[in-house]
Amino acid sequence: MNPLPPNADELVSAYLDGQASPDEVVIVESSPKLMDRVASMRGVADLVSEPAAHPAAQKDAHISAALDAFDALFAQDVDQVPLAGPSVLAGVPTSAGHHAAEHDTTSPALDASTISGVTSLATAREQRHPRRFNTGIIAAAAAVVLLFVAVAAFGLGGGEDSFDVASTQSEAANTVADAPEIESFTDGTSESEAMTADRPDIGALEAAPAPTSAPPQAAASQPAEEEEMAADAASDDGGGLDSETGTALATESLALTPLPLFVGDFLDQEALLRALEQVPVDELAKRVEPFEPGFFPSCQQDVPELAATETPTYVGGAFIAGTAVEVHRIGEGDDIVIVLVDPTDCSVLPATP
Amino acid sequence: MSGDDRALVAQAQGGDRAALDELLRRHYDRIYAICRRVTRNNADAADATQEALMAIVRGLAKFDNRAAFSTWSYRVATNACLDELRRRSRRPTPALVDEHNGWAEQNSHDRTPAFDEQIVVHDEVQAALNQLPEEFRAPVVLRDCGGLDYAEIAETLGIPPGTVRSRIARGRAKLAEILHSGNQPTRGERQNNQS
Repeated sequence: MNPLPPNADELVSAYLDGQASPDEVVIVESSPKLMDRVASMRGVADLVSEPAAHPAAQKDAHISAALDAFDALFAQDVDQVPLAGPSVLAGVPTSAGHHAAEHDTTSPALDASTISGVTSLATAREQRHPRRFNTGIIAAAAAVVLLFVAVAAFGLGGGEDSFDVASTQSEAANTVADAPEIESFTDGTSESEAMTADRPDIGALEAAPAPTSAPPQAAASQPAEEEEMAADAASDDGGGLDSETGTALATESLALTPLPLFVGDFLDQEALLRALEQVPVDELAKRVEPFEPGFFPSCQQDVPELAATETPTYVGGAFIAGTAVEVHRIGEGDDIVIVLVDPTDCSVLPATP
Repeated sequence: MSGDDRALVAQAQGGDRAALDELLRRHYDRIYAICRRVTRNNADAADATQEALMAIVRGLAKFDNRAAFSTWSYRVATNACLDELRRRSRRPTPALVDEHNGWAEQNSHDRTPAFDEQIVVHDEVQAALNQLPEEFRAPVVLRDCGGLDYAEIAETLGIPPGTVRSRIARGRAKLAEILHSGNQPTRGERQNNQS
């Protein structure tokens, strides 16, 4: 009689869920012992799957409150009208109502310096990659240089050559203009692809490839910091996932609001912040847009500096050395401030030196 | 069911209150079950369920049917539960037994024999689930209660699918051990006994 394989439970469980490979199916079905285990586990799964009992009055109250919220949202612009927390939830004892009533949110002027453990993205970018030149000046200079090249080429050759140079000029100008931000998020990935993707790769945020179409002139005008950033990204242990996977997750996250973005797993706080630096400001804003005003997921209401903000701040979750953290964002434009929060006690992580 | 959901979602997105009502009623029991299993007590489950319904209402306008409504709503519920657990970690948790007594007294006017019977059965299963560490409990509940596949659970919980697979297996094995050591009958065994 063959002994059970060491991973018998995993084989049986996967078989039960239809997630076993064809080889594993053969192994399970050829073993009476494993099939007995399948029956046992199926019984457990059936028990867990039975609906939990609840009083009918609770169901009616919950649905009624949700419908009231629906009415309030639909009566006006869904994207602009904050939920009336306490009135919507009247009569239903929920923590949401409690929180809404507890925090009469006002929006004081944002001052990153008054918040411990937060990092200004703009400041971080400046410190890490000081801008040696104004981006606009670089772009203008590159355009002028390329204009001369184009004129010269047109004068010498014309025809197809002139088209090539013109294209190059356009690409170069775009490349220079886009240089400070890395556009790693695109649409077009199906949800099924996103759902079947393996662990999200921080490559979505950290992979900051320099545009390959950049001509030599443009490449020369870019600061060497781009290479440094790429090297930094490559050195982070948590990386390795391709940007395509991350793109899928980002896209799905937006589509399946209000689910948060899972940012990734990082060796340390600095690596996470470095990755966030490379996310375009607009993209960060999109992360929190799905959360309607008045809906404050995660620890926002428990951190005074975040609770003072009228709009949701939660961008998504991440891991630092295997420990979960919440990523919050406050501020606008160049004044974006990132706040990392420990979700277990909603304490703000101290900024690393 | 899924096709019906799709039609109801479309109607609700167009402002049809009755369609949303039907949609929420259709999925409420499962959403509550997930919350009850994950949060481990009725009060937190009620809070999380309410938050989940609110989140569904708020997110409905942007729901694009790329996933089934049930899958999406269960994931929303799971996130609401995880938020609730985070909040609960900062306040005392009522004892399970006392809580159940309180539940029974508080809702005595709603109780029927069938409801009593359900409570007993679920006490047993819930007690067994409560003995599982959270990292095992959540995947098992999402799989068996929510019907999510491994990739969806992985995305929801932020862990690799391989980890989901092993945690579900270990969780179920532990549950089987607990339930069988306590001579708790499975549903099939109960049905056989009744017949």
